[in-house]
Amino acid sequence: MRRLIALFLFIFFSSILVISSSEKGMHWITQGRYARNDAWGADKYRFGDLYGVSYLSDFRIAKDTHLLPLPQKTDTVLRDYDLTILGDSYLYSSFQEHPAYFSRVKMLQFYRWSDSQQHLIFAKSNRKQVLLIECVERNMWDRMNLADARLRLDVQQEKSLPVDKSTKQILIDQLDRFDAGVKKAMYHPTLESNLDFVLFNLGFLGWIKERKADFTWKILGRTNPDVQVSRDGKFLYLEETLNAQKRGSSFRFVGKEDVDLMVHHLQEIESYYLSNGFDEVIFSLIPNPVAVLETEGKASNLAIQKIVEHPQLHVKMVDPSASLKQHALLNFYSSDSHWNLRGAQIWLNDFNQVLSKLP
Amino acid sequence: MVFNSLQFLVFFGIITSAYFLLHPKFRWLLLLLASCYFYMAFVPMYLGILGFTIVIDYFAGIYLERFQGFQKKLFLALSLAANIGVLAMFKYYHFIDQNIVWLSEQLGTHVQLPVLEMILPIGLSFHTFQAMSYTIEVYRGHQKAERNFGIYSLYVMFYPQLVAGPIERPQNLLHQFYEVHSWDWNRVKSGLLQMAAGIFKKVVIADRLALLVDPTYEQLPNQSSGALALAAVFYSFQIYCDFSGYSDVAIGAARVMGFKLMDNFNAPYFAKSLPEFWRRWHISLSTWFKDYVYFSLGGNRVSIPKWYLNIMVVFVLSGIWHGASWNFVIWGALHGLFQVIGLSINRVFPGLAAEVQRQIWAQWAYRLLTFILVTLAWVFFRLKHFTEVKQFFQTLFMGKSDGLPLALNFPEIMLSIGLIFSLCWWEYRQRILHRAHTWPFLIQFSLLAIAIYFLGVFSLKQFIYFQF
Repeated sequence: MRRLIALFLFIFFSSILVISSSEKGMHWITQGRYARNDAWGADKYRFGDLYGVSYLSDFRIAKDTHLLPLPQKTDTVLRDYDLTILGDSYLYSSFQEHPAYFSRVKMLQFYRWSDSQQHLIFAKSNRKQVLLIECVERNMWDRMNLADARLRLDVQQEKSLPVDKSTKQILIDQLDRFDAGVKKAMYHPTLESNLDFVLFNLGFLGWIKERKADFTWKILGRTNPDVQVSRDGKFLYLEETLNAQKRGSSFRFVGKEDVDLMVHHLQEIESYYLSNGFDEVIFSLIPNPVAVLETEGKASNLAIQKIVEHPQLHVKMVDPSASLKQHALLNFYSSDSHWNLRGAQIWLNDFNQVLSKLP
Repeated sequence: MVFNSLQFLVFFGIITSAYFLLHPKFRWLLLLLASCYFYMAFVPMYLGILGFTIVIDYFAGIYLERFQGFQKKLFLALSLAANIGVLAMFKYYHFIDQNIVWLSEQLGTHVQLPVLEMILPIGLSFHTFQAMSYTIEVYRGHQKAERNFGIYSLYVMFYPQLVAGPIERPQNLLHQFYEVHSWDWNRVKSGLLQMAAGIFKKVVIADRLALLVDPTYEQLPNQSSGALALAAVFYSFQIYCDFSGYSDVAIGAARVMGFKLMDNFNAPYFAKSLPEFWRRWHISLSTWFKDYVYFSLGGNRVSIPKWYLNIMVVFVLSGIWHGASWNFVIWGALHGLFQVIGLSINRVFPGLAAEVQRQIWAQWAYRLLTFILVTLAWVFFRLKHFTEVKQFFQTLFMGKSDGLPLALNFPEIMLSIGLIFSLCWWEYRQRILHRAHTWPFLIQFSLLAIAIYFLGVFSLKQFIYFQF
């Protein structure tokens, strides 16, 4: 009997570890759980990603599970561009990877900021090549520079030049690489969050999680440290977008040097991609929801506006801030860090206008 | 891999079940491999440093047994030098360098050690001290040298106590690796309960108190006196629950598999004097210093000034053991000084303490005084720079009433105080989470699990003592 119990425990815990440590296992369980809408389905992102972080019952919303619908009659439109996008979840959570959304676009390739480096191979076509680099405000200070852009999307496959290093430094580098290699082979980098998903991300546990979250919020005045409830109590925001000490915040002081540097980075990125096969490079900086919704009773740093209005900025830019601010409450979910389909459509309209004006 | 993580939960489930499934002959091997895996989760390269000291001490043990006289002393010295050398290299190198630079600059020159980029291996002080206790005990003839290299390695690396103790003695632990431990329900139940109690102390109490303590100490200039007093008291309980919580999980995890590790805490804040506090706090370290340093210096069987000096030496060393920084040295020296002052008062007024302690109210007054002294000393432990310590005490005693709002709201402060009082009551009544019957176990375990989930602060915050 005791051996049977030990055997059961061994099989149970080993299975959990094997599934959580493998990409295939996690893919299988994630697909399975998100396909179901019952007690055994996953609830992490189903009701708003910030609800999935906080589990505050007041913010459990019926999130639209569809992507933006494709335009219907599109075959008569002139399609003389191929579009490559380097973007984040604002785009891939709202759009299918389909060229029909975009004016004048025949072929579409999508690269994500979250992916590791990929080398771009241009499709063999006579069409012009346009590159869209899109990034949300909270990440733009870290991501919008040539080195980071090339880390995700590079057009040059040349080998790196040998660097003159001392023997000691070479030895240290090799040891570090060995160490990182061993660690990667033995421990999955996201094992803890994978285990959390496998063990606890089940619909029927949502009720219990909500009780804890509500108690912590309503009695102790705290939420999960990654999120914050707006002053009016109607929205959940990522804490990093509100905390003026953090780089991605809409309330951090942004000085002239910051803006100058960003403008320099944008132009550097544009020059690099223009000289490496693209005919047009367009940037789009998406404002943090809190900067659009203005629920905090204090002025945001207007970072994107300062960049767009910089006298030395000569790149093509899609800034949806003004459009999103019209009926702003309708353009965002109350408990998601992204826009809703209406917000996505507004951005798409602005972007298509820029596309339509290309030569 | 910290104890308050899901990774540890799964790891513990796999290793414990496999332990009882395996033939007893191979169990030590499973535990050794598991310990390597556990340790490498922090930084794999650390294993090489640990391996170095294991090899040295393994052979030192064998040669210590083989030789007598001068050669025996030589092997002990070599073993201790290797262990202390590793500690000095990885833990104290920068500290020594900083002080050499400062001292040379005072003398109008500039001397600096070569720059070495090193990270302190997790738990280095703990397993180095455990390894040293082995060679010392073999030298003293209290322990036979271990011939099985794997078993010796396991003695140093046994995963429950590898990174933050308890610092075991070879006489207590080594023989247990040869014993056959069968599945004993009572032992499993009490081990699981102790683990759950340890997690409760860590995530419900210590990590909750940290929510107030950390921001308060980080913004010292803007705090009121009341906020600092509250943070100081909370820190006393934070560090206690953090460290004793870790020890409970370590002892409980070992007990589930049939191993008995030494106790590390015994309600230290109920101590009626500083010496008593040190008999109740981090017992495995206090007894280590007592057995291997204090007694070696002559203990109290020497002249009074030498006795006081011995006490000061032990406590300063204990401070340095905690960290390579002057604040730890001062923290240790303060504890030494408190003890010397206490002993001096007892000498001037012999019998006074014994007379007063017969009164209940006096016992509580002594407890309170001891707690206040320990709490004030913790300030030196928590704050790294003298300017901060000075600012802390200036603000604390100046009666400043205005400052930043507290980082926790009123209900949570009340909840925290309630948890502290509950813990104190539990320890004062010497309640033990140990029931032979299944139902009381299930009820206690379920209540703890529910409390951990609903009241826990899940931030995967490292245990404070991991840095040592």
